Amino acid sequence: MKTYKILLFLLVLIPSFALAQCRPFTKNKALPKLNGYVQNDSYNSAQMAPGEEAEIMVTFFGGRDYRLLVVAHPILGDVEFTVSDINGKQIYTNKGAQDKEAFEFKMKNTQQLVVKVKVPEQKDAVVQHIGCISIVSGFKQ
Amino acid sequence: MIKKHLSLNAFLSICVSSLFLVACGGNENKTENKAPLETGASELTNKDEFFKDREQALKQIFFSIPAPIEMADMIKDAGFSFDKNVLNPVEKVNKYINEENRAINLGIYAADLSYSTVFDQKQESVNYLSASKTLASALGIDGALDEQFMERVQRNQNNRDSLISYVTQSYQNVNAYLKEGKRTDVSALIIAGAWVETLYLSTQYAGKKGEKAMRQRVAEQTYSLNQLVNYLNLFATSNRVNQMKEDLIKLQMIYKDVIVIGGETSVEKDKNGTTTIGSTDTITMSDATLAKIAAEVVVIRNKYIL
Repeated sequence: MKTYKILLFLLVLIPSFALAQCRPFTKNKALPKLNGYVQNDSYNSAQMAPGEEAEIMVTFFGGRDYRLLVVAHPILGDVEFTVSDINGKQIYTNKGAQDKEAFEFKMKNTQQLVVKVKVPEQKDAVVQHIGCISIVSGFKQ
Repeated sequence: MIKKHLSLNAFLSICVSSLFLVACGGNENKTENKAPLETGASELTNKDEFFKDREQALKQIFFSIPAPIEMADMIKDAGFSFDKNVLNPVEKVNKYINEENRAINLGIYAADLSYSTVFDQKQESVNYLSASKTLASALGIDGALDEQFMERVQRNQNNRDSLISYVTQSYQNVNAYLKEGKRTDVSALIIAGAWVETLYLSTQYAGKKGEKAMRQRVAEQTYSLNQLVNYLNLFATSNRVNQMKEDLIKLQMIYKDVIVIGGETSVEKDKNGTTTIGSTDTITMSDATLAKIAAEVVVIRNKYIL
């Protein structure tokens, strides 16, 4: 009976381990790029698949400087990210930007902005891959 | 009997091997170079499992309201000094015996920890981190604040910048462990607890005569509150989340008196390439509304800190 309990415990653990892949990615690949900014969110990282999109609404306070990062595993290709106001007016896109992962800005007034992330399709790929994407923001003290 | 035992042992061995294979990234980047697990990529082998309830899963993961450290920083920026009396005492940590209370108070302690650290209160910071560790262990996420992490904090407690970095890491780790362990509802309660305490701390200063900066920050919390309530709506089947949501909806009713006038967003780039985002939005609040918010957040906080 005890053995079965151990078995059940292990089987429950397997999917959790399978999911636990973006924590080290975020720690090693994304957080160091905050570069002197203090991280001001909880945890926004997940594995995403080709063709998927995600969005997140973030409040930025007036009178403060921010660095917003969208760091994606290279296997996902050129991940696009945009920042818009809540009415859909686009403020920033990383298309053509020198640094495709970071957007630094000052906020005059407190505002909610929408960050959209789009993973490109991998139509010709024989094997599809999923990879971590971390959205991180930090403020300057 | 021996035969049955053997087959069971064999099955157990297969399970353990599978577990380590998955945990160690057995199928990591098969077609690319053999990258280690921490690169965070793998083959999409089980599409049905991966895309199951996908939209809901992504909404539960990608959610952001400002972490407590930022509001604490704004209290300091406004010129106020540290007040230990406004914190939830660490001695209460053993009173929190169910998962809901542990999660909410882990959030509350996270806010108190952020506040203590920003004001460079070294011993208080270590105390609140230690209390947070107790609650994290009780929630089964020891790894989020393990012994090595705590030792590093002890070693670097005299360096304020390092301590701030550890505080933000601890908040991130706790939420990461829970989200990746598919316990997003528990993470949601921690975030809600942290937000309630942050608002409570802010109102302690915003109510002071002539105070403008913190008063404005309290009014601006209308955005985070609406986002938080919407987020908690994603956990409609969780009674413990619904309880917190009902409390926040009462606060939301008061926040309806905060006047938000939407405007135009502007984007300017100066000659140094610095982008400034502005808007003509205005957010205002009367003294009476501030007093009602301050009173209601005390009621909610008292309900959970016990």
